[in-house]
Amino acid sequence: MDHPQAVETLAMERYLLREMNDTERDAFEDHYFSCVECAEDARAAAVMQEGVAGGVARSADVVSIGDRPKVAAFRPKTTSWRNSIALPWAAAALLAVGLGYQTLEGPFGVARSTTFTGAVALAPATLRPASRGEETVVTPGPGGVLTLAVDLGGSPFGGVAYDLSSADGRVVASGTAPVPVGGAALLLMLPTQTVSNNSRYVLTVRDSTSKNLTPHTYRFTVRAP
Amino acid sequence: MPRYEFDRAYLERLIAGDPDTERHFTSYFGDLLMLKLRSRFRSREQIDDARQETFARVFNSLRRKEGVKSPEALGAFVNSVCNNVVFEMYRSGARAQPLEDEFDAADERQPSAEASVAAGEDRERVRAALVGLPPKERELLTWLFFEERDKDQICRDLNIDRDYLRVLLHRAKNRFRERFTQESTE
Repeated sequence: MDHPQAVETLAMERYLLREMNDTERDAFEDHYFSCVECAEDARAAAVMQEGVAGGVARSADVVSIGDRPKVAAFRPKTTSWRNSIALPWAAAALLAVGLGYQTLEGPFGVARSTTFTGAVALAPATLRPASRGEETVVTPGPGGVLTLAVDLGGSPFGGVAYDLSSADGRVVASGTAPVPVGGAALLLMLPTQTVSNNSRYVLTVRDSTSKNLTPHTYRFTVRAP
Repeated sequence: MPRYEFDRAYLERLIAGDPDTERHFTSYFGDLLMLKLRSRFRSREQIDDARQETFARVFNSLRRKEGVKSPEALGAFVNSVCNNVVFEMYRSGARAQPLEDEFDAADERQPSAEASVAAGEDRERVRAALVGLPPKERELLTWLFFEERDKDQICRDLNIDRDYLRVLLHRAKNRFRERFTQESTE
């Protein structure tokens, strides 16, 4: 494949849409690794694709171009909940914590908002790095708390930074957390008011100390019990 | 994305282990490898493993002065090494072996303060470029690369054919590229 051919046939677009057979795909890869113009286009496409797949696009006003139905809120939220103190509160609340103490006495105020009088057993949903076609379904537990055990895959993080985004790229919460000791999972707890039922989310976890390492992405759908 | 043409001096700096050149090399080809490997592997770990293994082999070959005779062949060489890595990972069905001890490429685990700041700035630029797209283009990209919806279903929903879907993606990609470049130069 040469450059004019790649341009005329919208090769990059067909490549991104997975419309090429193996032979054509291999030929196009041979080309864009060597062609200055196509390499430039490929790098932009890679950054764009990674950004979208990782939920980097942030917008609160996505306009529907299809007939996708609106989803109902998992729990009714008060007016301007997110626009006032909600977002910074949620960001501060989304921390890696020890389950027991933090569940009852932590920043989410679970104990104050429920009738817990003793120990609470939570069953965190384990999130593993995003795999194409696979998606974890997460169900909130007692006290209206979503508990996530994030498998970092043994990556030697220097520091953990995370963003939780909805499918339209809107960031629901973000922050930093200590690195789990001894390869343990990172535990994140979310008040369910920050998410909506039957909605898809992507959690992006990155090393806050290194720009070159690829962020881990975890996709999940929230579903009411 | 700035155009970059490799020359003999670049290749020599790379062979000599110049940190800045190695950093540029891994950034430049890291993007291309990411694009390629996303079509080959399902998991992030496999993609990262394949990418690191490719870089390890390329650097080892360069240090032994094997594989690349001219700077123009650098891209083809990286792609070829990556093909071998992918093939071996398919065949073994297992994750790639860790980097060899003697591999001494730029230490990505201990970035400078400037690098950490740059990482955040890069992310901001990507986000700004995506948010700056028209809502319809942003949503199309979300359907394709975040939700990974079926393309035929997208075409039915939008009442378009596959040819026009390519055109829409072409426009969104080019607009993103313009905005990302603009964000990078501001």
